[in-house]
Formats: sequence, structure tokens, C-alpha cells
Amino acid sequence: MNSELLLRMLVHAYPIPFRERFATELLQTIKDQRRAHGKHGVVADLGFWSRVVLDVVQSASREHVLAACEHRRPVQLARLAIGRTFIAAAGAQVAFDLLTPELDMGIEASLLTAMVTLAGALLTCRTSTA
Amino acid sequence: MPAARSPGGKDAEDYLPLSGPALHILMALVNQERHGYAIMREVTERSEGTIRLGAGTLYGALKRMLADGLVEESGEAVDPELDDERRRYYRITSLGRAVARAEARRLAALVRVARSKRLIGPELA
Repeated sequence: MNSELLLRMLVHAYPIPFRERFATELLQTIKDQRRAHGKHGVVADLGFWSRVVLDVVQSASREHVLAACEHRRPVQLARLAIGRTFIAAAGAQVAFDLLTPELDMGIEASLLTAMVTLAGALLTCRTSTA
Repeated sequence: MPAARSPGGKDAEDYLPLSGPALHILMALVNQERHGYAIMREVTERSEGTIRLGAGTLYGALKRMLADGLVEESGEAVDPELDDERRRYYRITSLGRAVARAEARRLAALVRVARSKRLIGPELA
């Protein structure tokens, strides 16, 4: 999995109207940041991507809250926010594993990641069909 | 000169206090149009690295500022310092400039109060 694909997955955490308007610019800007960051080793790269993922999780959650408040569906909002957060957290764990192959987190971490992803998918799907 | 107003009839003071990202974005656009990454770079350089806007935070703030009429799109162009991709540029509106000015005055008043209470010294620029 390369960084381009990971970025596109991350941008998918935002609400559809926000993605339609800003996805291209978001991807472009993060790539500009990555280019300016340069190559400094695994730890520095991990710090960079951690900041990017954290910013996406925080801002995407905020956009979902704002969108749901406009439509006044708090229960659906909570399910969608939690579900998307779980999926984003699982994505961050996968990114961490890919960037640090020498750090074997073990089968427990992989199972936990899979469970978090499944929970996030279930919450998101239930929200979509509710 | 009549005060700048939003389409909804709000005055500049109605937008105060500004969020941190919104104020920094307006300050970055006061003197020239910029695209998203240039705004981030300007904020980081002006704050000497103490403030770093994330891309998600930046575009979330821009979305709200566009809706409020504080900034507007000014077209797409290539930034020769980066690459040959076209980038969307943003500029501050007259309302945005008035809001930034009002926020700066509000913060200046807070600094005067802090000085009067000797929280900070007169040497702080």
C-alpha cells in the first residue's frame, strides 16, 4: 500500500459534500507537506504521518458533527462519527505496521485492528441504512 | 465608509472572537492571494514554527469562511515554486479584512489589560 492510496482512504473519512469540494486540494496540500518534510528516517516519517492522520480524524469528525447538526440526527451522527473514527484508527494502525515492519506488534494487535475495522464498518453501515 | 457586512447583514464584530485557524488564515491572506499550502507555509513561517495548521483543519476553516463571506476563491493557477499542477487560490474579502481588523483590535485591548495587570511587560512586541 503506498502513501497515495493511504491518503485517498483518509480523505474518504470526510462527508461526501466536503470531499467533493476539497478532496483534490486536501490531497495536493498533504503531498506538498510531504515533499517539504523530505526524508528523515522512519521515526520522523512516522511523526509526520501521525500528525496527518490525527488532523484528518479530528477535522473529519468535526465536519460530520456539523453536517449532522444541520440535519438534526444526533443518534445517526454518533454512530457515523464513532464508526468513521474506528475505521480511521484502524487505518492508522495499518499505516504504522507498514511503515515499521521491524516492529512486529503480534497477532493480538492484528486481531484488534480487524475487530475495530469491523465495528466501524458495522456502525457506518447501520447508519447508512437507518 | 459603510461597515462591511455579510450577505446575512452581520457586522464584523458579530464574527468575534475568531477561531485560531480562521484568524491565522485571514492574516495570511491580508497582503496577497494564496493557495492552501502557501497559507499553511505562511502561518508556520510567521509564527516561527509554533503554529502548524493541518490540511484538514485548514480546509475545514476555509469552508466556513467561504460560507461566511470572509474569503473567496480567486481562480486557479500554477505555483512555479512547487510543480506544474494548478492550484485553487483564495483571497480575503472586504468583510474578511474588517473582521481581521476587529479581531486584532480586540486582541490588542487584551494585551493592554495584561500589561496593566503586570502579567506581561511593556517590552512584548
